[in-house]
Amino acid sequence: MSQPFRLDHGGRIDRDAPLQFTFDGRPINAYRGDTVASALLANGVTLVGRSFKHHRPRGIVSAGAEDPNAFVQIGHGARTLPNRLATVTAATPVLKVRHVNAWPTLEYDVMSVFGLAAPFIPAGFYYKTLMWPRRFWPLYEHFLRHAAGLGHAPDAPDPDRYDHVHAHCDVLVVGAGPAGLAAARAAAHTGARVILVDEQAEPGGSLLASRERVDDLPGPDWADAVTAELTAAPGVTLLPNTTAFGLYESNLVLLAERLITDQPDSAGSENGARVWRVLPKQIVLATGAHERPLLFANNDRPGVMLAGAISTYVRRYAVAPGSRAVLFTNNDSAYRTALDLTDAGVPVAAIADVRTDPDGDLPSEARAQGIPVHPGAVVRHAHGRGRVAAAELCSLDGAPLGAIECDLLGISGGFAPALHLHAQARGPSEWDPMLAAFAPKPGRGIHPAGAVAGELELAAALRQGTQAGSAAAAAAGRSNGSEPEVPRANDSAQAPIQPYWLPPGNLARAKPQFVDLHEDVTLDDLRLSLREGFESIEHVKRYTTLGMGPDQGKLANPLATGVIAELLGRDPASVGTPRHRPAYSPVSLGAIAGRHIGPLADPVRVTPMQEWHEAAGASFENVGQWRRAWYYPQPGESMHQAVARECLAVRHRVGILDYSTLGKIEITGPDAGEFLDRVYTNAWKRLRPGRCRYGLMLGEDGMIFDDGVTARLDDQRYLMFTSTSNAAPVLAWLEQWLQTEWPDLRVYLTSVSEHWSNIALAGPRSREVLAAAGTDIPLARDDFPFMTFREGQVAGVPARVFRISFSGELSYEINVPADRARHVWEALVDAGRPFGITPYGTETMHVLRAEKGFIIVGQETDGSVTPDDVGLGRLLSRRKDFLGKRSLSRPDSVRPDRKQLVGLLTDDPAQVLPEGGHVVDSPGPQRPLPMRGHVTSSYFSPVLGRSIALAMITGGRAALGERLHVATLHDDRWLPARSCHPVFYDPQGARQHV
Amino acid sequence: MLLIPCPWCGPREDDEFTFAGEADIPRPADPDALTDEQWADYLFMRDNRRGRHREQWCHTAGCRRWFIVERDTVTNEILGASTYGNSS
Amino acid sequence: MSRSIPRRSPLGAIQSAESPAHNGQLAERPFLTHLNLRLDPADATALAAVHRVLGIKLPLTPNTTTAGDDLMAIWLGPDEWLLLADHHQSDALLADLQTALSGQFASVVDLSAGQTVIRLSGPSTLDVLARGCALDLHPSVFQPGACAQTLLARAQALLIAVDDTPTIDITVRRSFAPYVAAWLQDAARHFGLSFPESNTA
Repeated sequence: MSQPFRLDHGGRIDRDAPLQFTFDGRPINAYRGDTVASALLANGVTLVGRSFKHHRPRGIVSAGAEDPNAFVQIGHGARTLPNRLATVTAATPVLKVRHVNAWPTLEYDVMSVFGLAAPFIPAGFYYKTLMWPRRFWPLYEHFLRHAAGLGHAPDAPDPDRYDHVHAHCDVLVVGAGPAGLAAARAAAHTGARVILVDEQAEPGGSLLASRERVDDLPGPDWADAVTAELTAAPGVTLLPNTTAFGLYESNLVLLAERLITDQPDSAGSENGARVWRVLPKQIVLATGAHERPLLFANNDRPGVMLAGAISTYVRRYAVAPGSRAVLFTNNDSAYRTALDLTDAGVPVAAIADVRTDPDGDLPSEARAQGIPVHPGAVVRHAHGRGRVAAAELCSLDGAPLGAIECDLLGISGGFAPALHLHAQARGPSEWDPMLAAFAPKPGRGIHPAGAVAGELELAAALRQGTQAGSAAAAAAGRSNGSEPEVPRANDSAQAPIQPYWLPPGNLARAKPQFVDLHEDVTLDDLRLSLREGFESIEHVKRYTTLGMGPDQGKLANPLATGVIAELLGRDPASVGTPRHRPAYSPVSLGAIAGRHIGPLADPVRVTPMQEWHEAAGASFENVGQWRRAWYYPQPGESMHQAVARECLAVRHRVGILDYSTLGKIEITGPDAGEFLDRVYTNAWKRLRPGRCRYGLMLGEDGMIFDDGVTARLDDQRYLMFTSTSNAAPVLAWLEQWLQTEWPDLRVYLTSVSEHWSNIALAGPRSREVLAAAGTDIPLARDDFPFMTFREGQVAGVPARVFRISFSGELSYEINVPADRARHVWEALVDAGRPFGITPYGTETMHVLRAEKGFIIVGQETDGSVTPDDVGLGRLLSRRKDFLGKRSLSRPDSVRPDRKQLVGLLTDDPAQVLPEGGHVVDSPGPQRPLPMRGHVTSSYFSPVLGRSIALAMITGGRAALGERLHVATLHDDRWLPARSCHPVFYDPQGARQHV
Repeated sequence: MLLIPCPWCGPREDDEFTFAGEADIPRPADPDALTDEQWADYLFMRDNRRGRHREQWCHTAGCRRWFIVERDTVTNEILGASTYGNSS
Repeated sequence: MSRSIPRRSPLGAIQSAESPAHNGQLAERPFLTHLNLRLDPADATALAAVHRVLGIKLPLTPNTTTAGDDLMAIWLGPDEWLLLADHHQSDALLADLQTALSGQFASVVDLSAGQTVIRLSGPSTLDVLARGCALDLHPSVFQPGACAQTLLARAQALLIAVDDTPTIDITVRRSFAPYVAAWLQDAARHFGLSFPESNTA
C-alpha cells in the first residue's frame, strides 16, 4: 500500500528504513521515526476509533499524549496492551494495532445506534434511568460494560518481565522541548547529575517541527546538536520514550520508559516497560502546553485536528493530514500552521480568526502568502459524517460566511500549560489572564520553564530554560561560577489571544458540541449539570464524567474551566480545574508490579530444615512470611489422618517439631531484671540463672500483646522467646520503652532469632531420644527439672536446651546455631527411630496445646483480652507496676460480663465446631439473638477420641457446664455443646514433670 | 512518599520507618495515683493537631533508633528531627 | 568434636577445608564471623578494651566502617556495631571480647549462624542494586568505608562499600537469604551475572 499523504521530502523519518505494521489486519507502510498515528495519516487512515458513549467516528486530534481519541490496542494474546496512544507509540515492524470500542468493525459499528439516540442519553442518564427497577441493575451493567469497552485485558498471564530502577540526580528535567533542552544543558554545565526525560521518541519537542532558527541552526538541527552534547556529557542520563507520570511528596517522580523492541514474543525478556523511581534534588518542569480545542457543532469529526499537531505532522513526519484545510483560531499560532501547510503544498482555504484585527507578524505573513483571513469570524459547524467535508463559517454576530470545502479543519483555542505533574503533588498554580489558563507557581524545588510557565515564544522559553537549569543546579549545590550562554532564536513576537469559550448567541445552542471527546461530554451536558445544581468543577466532573477517560481530560479540562465560567458568569480563576492525579498517561499494571511478582512478590522465609521437610513430604502453611511445615502426610493419608497420627505419637512416644521461627531476644545489662519487671506482668528479678518462666506482656491498655518463656542465662543476661508473628513488633516495642521512657536503664537488646534454630522434642520418650543422640547434659529428672535450661553439646553441636513444654508432655526445646541445626535435627531423627519418633507440624502443635488449654496470642486473644479473661490472672504481680497494670482496674476491665476462656464439648463427640462460630444460649425465634461469645480454637482430639474447642464466653467461668449453641457458618444449623474447664487433658500437668 | 530525616542516617524513604504517633506523652510516674479519667486521657486522648506536630518515628530498617520528627500535618512538610535526650 | 560438624550456609554451601573461594561477581561469602557489639561510645574504658582486642577503633561516625586485617567493624547505631571477621573465629573473638568487657555495661552476641554475606562486584554492581535499593549508591556518595542499613527489594539488608570496583557486600538475615538471592539473580540476569552452582538454595 502506498502512502498517499506522505510528503515527498522533509521530515525526520528515515526514508531508508521502511517498515510495515498492521492496523485491524491491514498493512500500514511506515518509516522508522514514524509514530503509529503519523503512519496511519500517511496511509490515509482517518478513522481510528469510536467514541466511548455514542460510538461516533473519531480521528487523530493531536500529535502527543493529550489525544482523546487515538487509543488503540497493541499486540495480541498474553502480550496485548489496551489504551496505548497511537500518537506516542513508535511504529515498529512487529506491531499489531487494533481499534478499540467498536464492534464488529470500525466502519460498521453496531453500537453507533447510541449516536442516533444521543439526545436521549444525557449526562447522568445511567444514574437516573438504570437504577430502576433496582434488581435489573446487574443486567444493565452487563450490557453497559460490553458496550463501553476500553480495549481488552490480556487473556493469559503476562510472560514479560518488567524492570524497576531507582535513580537519583541533582536535577531532573521533565520535557526535552526547547526549555527542557536548554535547562538540561545549563544544569550539566555545572557538573550536576542530570536526568532528562521526554515522552517522545526523540528529544526536541516543538523544535522538531519549528520554522525558527536557534543559534543560527534550523530548530531541529539545534535540538540534535544539544542532544548529542548531552549524550556525551558525563553525569547526564537521557531518557526518550519515557513519560513522567507521577509526582509525589518529597518530589519523588515516577517515570515509565517504553522499551522499544523489534523482537516479538521473546518470552521472559525484559520487555514492554521500565518504571524509574527518581528522587531528584531539584526539578525543572518543562512539560510544555496543550493546545485548547474550540467549540462548534460536530467539532468531533475526523479531520478536525489541533493546529499545532498539523504542523508537527507536516514538518516532523512529512505527512499532510489532509488535502485542503480550513483553520479556526483565537491566537497567532495557527498562522504558523497555515504557512507550514502552504509550504507543503496543501492549500489553506480560509482562516477564521475570532479576533477582529489580527495584525501580528504571522498573520501578515499568511496574508502575504495569499491565504484568505476572516477576522471576527468563527466556525459554527463542521459538515461531513465519516470525515469533515466542509467548515461553515459565520461572523461573531451570526452572519453567515458560507461553507468552505475542506477535509482538514485545524483549530487553536490557545495553550494551557501541562501543569499536571506539578498539580499532582499539590503544587500551587494561578490563573494567567494572558494565557487564559492556569500556570504553575515555582517553589518546593520545582522550577517551571517554557510553555508550562506560560512562555510560548521560543527565544523566551530558551532563556527561561537556561535560567531554570542554572538555578536548579545551584539549589542542588552545584555551580561552576560561569553563566551558561543563552541560545538565541529568531521567532517573532506574538499578539495576545482572545479567549473564546462559548460560541456567541444562538450558536451556543447548536448540537452536538463536544467538550470532552473521550467521554462524549457535550456543552449540553455541562449545562444540564449546572442546571441541576452541580456547579463545583469536581461535581461537574462526577456528574458528567468530564475528564475521567484514560486521557485524563488533558484537552477537555482547560476548555471546560472557561466554558463553565462563562455559563455561570464567573471568573475562570474561581472555577478552577478538577484535581490532577497520577498517572498522567496510562501505565500498564505489569510495569507497576515490576519484579515483585510470583515467587518474588514477597519474601518467603524458611528455616535451615526446609529441605528436610520438603523431602519428608510435608505440607506447608504460611505464617506471616514464614513457610512452616504444617503436617507430614504419608502416602494415602488425609490431613485429618496425618494429624491424628502425629498427635498420638507425641502423646504416646515422641515427636519432633521445627520451632525455629520463634522470636529470640537477648536482654543484657545490670538492669535487665528491672526491665523485665516493667514489661512483663509477673516478677523476674528473683528468677535464678538457669531457670525459665512464662511471661505475659500487655499493652498499656491492659490487653495481652504477647506471651512466651524467658530464661535467665546468667546474672545479667536473659533470653526472651516471643511468638513467631510478634518477633519484630515485640523488639520494636521493647526498644521504644528503653529509648524513649527509660534511657536510664542499662539494658541492651539484641535479636538472636536467626542465629538459634529451635528443635522441639516432645513426648514421654523424648529424654531417651536426646540421650541417644548424644549429649553431655545430665538428663535425669532431678538434674534437669521442668522450667530450667542447660548449656552443653547435642549431637556434637553447642546447644542451649530448655525443658519447657507447649504440648504438656515431657519436652526439650533444643536451640542450636542455625548453620548446624540440620545436622542436629537429622541426628535426633536417627536416634529417635527406635523410639518411633514422628516429625510433626504446626497443626499437631495447635491440637496438642489446645488439649492443654494453652492460649495462642492472636487466636484466643484479639487485642481486647486481659490476662484474667483467659484465666491467667495469677500471673499479675501485685507488688510492682508493669505496663498495662493500671488499665486492669478500669471499669471496663472489671466488667462482670467480660468474655472468658472456657472449653466447649459438643453433644456429638464427632462434631468439630467451626472456629469463629458464634455462641448463643439457645437458638430461639428471637432476632437478634443475644451473643454469648465465639469459638476461638476447635479440633478433633485424637488422644481423647472426641472434638474439643476453646471459646470466649461472657461470664463463662462462673457458669461452667452450661448448655450453649454454636452457629454453623455456611448452613443454618445450631450445634449443641456444654462449657467446661479449658484444660481437656492431664489437668494436673503431671506429664510435663516426669 | 515522605523522606524522613533520621538524625543518624540522614533522609531515608518512609518505608524504612515505623510511626508511633504523637510524641511528648510521658508515662505517668505513679499510674495508681491517677483517676480512671486521667489514665484514660494518657492512654487514649491525642491532640491530632492541624499544623506543626511532634511525633515518634523509629528507623526500623536502619539504625533502630527512636526519634522525634516535627511535621506539618497540613502540608506534610518535615520541619525537623531530634533525638531523645539520653539516647546519645 | 564440634569442629567436625560441617556448617551449612543459608544459600546451600557446606563448609569444608577445601571450600574454594568464589571470585565471581555474584556469590555468597559464607561462614564469616558476625558479632553484634553494644556499648556506650562515651565509655572510654570499654572503647579502649575493644580496641585492644580488635586492633582497630570502632567507627563512631554513622554509616561508616573501619577495617583491619581479616576484620571489619561496621556502624549499626550510635551504640551498636557489627564485627565481621574473615575466618570463622567466632568462639575465640567472642570469648576475648567478653573477657575484655567483663564487668562493664556492654553486650557481645554471636550472630554468625544467623546471617550471611552476598558479594556483588564488577561494573554492573550499582545497576543491579538500583533495581531494588532506594539509596543513592553513586560513587560520589557511597564510597569504600561507607555502610548503610536499608531495604533491598522487600528485605532488610546491610550494604557495605568494599572497594571502588565497585564491590558491595550485602549482609542479610538467614531466613531472608534465599529470597534476596533469588531477587538478585533475577535482577542481575539482565547483566549476565548469576550465582555459582554451589549457591543453589
